Amino acid sequence: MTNPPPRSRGPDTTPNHDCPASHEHCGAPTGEHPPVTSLATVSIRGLWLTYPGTRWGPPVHVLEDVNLEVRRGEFVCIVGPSGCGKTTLLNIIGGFLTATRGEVLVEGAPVQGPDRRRIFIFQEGGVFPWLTVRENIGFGLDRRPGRDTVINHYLEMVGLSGFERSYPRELSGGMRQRVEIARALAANPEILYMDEPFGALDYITRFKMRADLVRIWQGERKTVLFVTHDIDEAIQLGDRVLVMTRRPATIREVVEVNLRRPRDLDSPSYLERRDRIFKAMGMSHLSGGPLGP
Amino acid sequence: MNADRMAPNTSQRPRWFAPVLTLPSLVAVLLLLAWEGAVRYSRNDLFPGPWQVGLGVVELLRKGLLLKYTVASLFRVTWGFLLAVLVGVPFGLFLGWFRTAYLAFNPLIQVLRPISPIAWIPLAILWFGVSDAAPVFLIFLASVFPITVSATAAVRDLQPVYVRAARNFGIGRVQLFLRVILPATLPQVLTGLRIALGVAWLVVVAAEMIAVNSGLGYLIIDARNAGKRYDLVVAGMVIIGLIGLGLDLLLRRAERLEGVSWGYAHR
Repeated sequence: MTNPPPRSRGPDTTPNHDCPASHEHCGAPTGEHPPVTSLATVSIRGLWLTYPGTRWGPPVHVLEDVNLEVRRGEFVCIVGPSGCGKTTLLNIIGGFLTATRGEVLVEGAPVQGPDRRRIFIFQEGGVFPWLTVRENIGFGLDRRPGRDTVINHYLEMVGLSGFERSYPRELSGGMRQRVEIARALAANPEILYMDEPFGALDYITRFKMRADLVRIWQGERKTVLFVTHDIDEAIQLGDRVLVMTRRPATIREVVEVNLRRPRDLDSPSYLERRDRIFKAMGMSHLSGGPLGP
Repeated sequence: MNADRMAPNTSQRPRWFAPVLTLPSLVAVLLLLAWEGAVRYSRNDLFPGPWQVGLGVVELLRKGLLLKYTVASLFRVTWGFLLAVLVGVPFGLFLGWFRTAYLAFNPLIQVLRPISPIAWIPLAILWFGVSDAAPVFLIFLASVFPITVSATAAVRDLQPVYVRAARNFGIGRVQLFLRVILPATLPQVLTGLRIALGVAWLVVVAAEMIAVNSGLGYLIIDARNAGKRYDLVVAGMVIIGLIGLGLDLLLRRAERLEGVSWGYAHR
């Protein structure tokens, strides 16, 4: 298995170039990688999810008229307050849940269920504890020649060479998530659905995992839909950040990040985007509380 | 720094000094001494002392009865238990996976389960006569319920994330069962087998007292009936205890195997 060659990044390819906010207005290219095609790879129209009412309570609207489009090769983050339904949304897109109303199209076809071309990465505990690291990574691969090469490739990519015979319980939480990411990539999916994959990790590990994910994504160029409640994480990773509201959840705002990776978390343009997301969520980053009374 | 000096100093001691072995041995020796002392001091003939019991074991060994009866009991336990595994594990996994089946069969199981296998003895004799089949049937009854219940619980406790992750890779039903459900439930199923084997060993002794004329249970009842040989009665009890310990250790060993050890908290 070989990685696709890195795509052309336009005339300005200075590495680590943090594009200042003023740059956006002078016509310099700010987008890191323009989409190859305008065809949306994931397309959601008028999606509703309602849990029917019971004897004790009225129906619960979890998702209300969600619309979104994800382009091929794009890294899209979905942020929102905890419990707002973003994981539910991802489960519907992943084919694990069925919506009450609306359309979920992937590559133009309605989602019928989970599909090996789109792999889901769970927050925690998705690796199989009865299999070694190597066996986990090879889980989605047929027993064909070249299997070992693929496994070795992804072992190395996620930095777990030397741990292939270890069992998940012998690894740290961060390493277990690396196993899951490697297992997903080894199956060569077109899309990755990531549901707060770093949510259970400590602060330092999370930082490292984000940087590694960006590096891996730049090599593999998969389409990624990444759910998180961490606004910094979303801006650091995503090409676009979709901001969801509280229940009944819908997408309130789409923030184009348009910053070169790796991203400087102190740059004014970064902070400006962060504030926009805070505002969209009805919060102030100073007080943490809701704006207004 | 020398790495050896970092090693815990217990590794310096010889293996036989491990507290797991020495402490229980110490308790056993003290208890035997107290037992012997109490029997000699009270001069009663209601309870034989350890020396008499030891002589009784030797007598059984000489006559070849010890080996013969142990083999007979283990034979019945093996067959009854194997049948229970063959029926209980698949049936339990089936009930755990299919909710409808669980709803249909679980009440029946919960009614049959608390009936002591001993209560089945009259029927077992009526159906199978005085033969090996009667105790095998009773052992099957005794162990099939704990096995079924633990297998059912294992599937119901299964983390849904394993099934989702596996399905995501597009594997079929058979593969899902073989590669996910079976390995994921194995540790809990094995714990059920351990409990069931303990119960089976309890029941074989009771069954042999009534339904057959060989085995360790028969040895005990025969020693009493034929000559009030209470030294042989207690010898039989001690042997039953030791074999029971051995059976449990065997399955504990199995819990350390690579495919299942992940499922137990590490002690």
